[in-house]
Amino acid sequence: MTELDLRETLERHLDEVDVPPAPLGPVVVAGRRRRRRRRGLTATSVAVALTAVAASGAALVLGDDGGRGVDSSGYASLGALDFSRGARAYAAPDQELHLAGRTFPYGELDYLDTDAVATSYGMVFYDHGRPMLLGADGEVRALVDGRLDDPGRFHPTAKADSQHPWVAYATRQDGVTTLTVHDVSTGADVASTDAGCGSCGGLVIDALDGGVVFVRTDAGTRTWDTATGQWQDFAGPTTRVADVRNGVVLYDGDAPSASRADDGSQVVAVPGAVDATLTFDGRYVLDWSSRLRSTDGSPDLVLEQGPTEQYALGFWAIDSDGTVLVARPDRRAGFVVYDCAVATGACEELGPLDPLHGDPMFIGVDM
Amino acid sequence: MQPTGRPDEQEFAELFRASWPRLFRLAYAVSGDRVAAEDDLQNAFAKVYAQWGRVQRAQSPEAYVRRMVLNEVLGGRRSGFRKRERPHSTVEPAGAVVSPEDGVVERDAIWAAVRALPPRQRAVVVLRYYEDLSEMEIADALGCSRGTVKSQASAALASLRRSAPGLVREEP
Repeated sequence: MTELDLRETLERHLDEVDVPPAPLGPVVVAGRRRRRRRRGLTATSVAVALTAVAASGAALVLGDDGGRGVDSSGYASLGALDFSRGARAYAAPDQELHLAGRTFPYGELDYLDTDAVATSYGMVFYDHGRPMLLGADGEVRALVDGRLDDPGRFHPTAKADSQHPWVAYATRQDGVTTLTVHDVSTGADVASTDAGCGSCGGLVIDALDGGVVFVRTDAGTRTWDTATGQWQDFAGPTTRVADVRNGVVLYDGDAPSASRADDGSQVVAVPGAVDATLTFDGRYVLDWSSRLRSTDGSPDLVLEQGPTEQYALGFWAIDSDGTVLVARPDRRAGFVVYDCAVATGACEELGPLDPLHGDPMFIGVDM
Repeated sequence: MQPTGRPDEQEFAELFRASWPRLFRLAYAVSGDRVAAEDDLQNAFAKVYAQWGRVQRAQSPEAYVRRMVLNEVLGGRRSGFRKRERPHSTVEPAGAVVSPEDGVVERDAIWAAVRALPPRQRAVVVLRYYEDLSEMEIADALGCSRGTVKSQASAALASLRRSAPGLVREEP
């Protein structure tokens, strides 16, 4: 082996690497968060954080169980939760968490984070690779039983369907990665399939729309239609599907290679940021602003509350009922959270939120 | 994504977009994992944003950012599974793949051996032979002495030759 061999080898392998889209928005937001956190971090908040960590250690299931199973008794019953007006799930980290109109000490529900998924029937989240459901009865139950492989290494995310009460998740058992679409209203599985990629390194579920699951691996994005069981190549590795709603695909990077869906319908692909989301009807893009960009040429939607300049200070999320949650800065309260209707832009005030450090957090939204 | 308006953010956006592809390849080469590389790069750039004033004041902002990226990739903040080395047994044994007549196979074996190096040695190799940096520049990027770079490079090359004995040829 010569140095020339080594140089050529590195160039050959690294120059051919598919580079993912540069996510400016999330980086800017994370950078701002760091700035504010640095300013706001005090000895008191550190102590609060340590306390919360200790509490979470007691609340969560054992992390070293080797994936054998989950002791749901580790989750305290919360009593009935009313999701009929949306999950309305948001938090001041380490302080308080709001869910379905109720307020809890953050440490009691810190298993709900931005990776959780809000549905009209409860919150779906992963516990050491195992999908769990916090239901409307306030109880947490595992959606999958049995031993899991490498539970700490598998982070496929879960996604909710806006057209059905369904969630998609992935689990890895005995070297096989299984995708499942589960009906949270009935507790029954709609469909499941072998993802066909073994242990599926880097597998991520990017979207679930009308029973079609958008699955990304290092090789690119494929769709699995639960109605037909058919898989279809959708996009290469330089495309990132940000969201899919009502047949509209929001993507970052290169345009998807598929022009038609499995059912033969035309794919409506809209370019956007990887951390943007679509309204349930697919008509607007929510992208760090209370001005929602139209996807069909109609006028943009401007919400009554929140800054309309992109990346001005504020936080947004699509709730489980399709409304838009907005945390708007407020001189007295820190932030005020609103629930805004997409049809009219009208907003209902939910209440103040004043994080001592960090930013407001919408559960199930990793924008 | 549009730049965020303020002049420093415009400059940040330009540097971010311009350097992302090259730094992603560097992060990937050092970490050996696409997902980890992307995460680390995002974290590093969030820190760059948060410390933009300091970055701008650096003699070479690009070199400073590269140092932050390497610090993120090699840093001790990794979760357990990402800190772990790739077990050597997962790398194809060189003898099983070497074909003196086949340059492509040979380079694949070299690549596998590079990926099996400890991260800091891998970083030295990548910075030297891919980024084409001098020993002094590598030392600056990794926050270590020039002597450490020399010793890491020497150990890396020795390890590569041990890992791929069938590939060893005398330097011209």
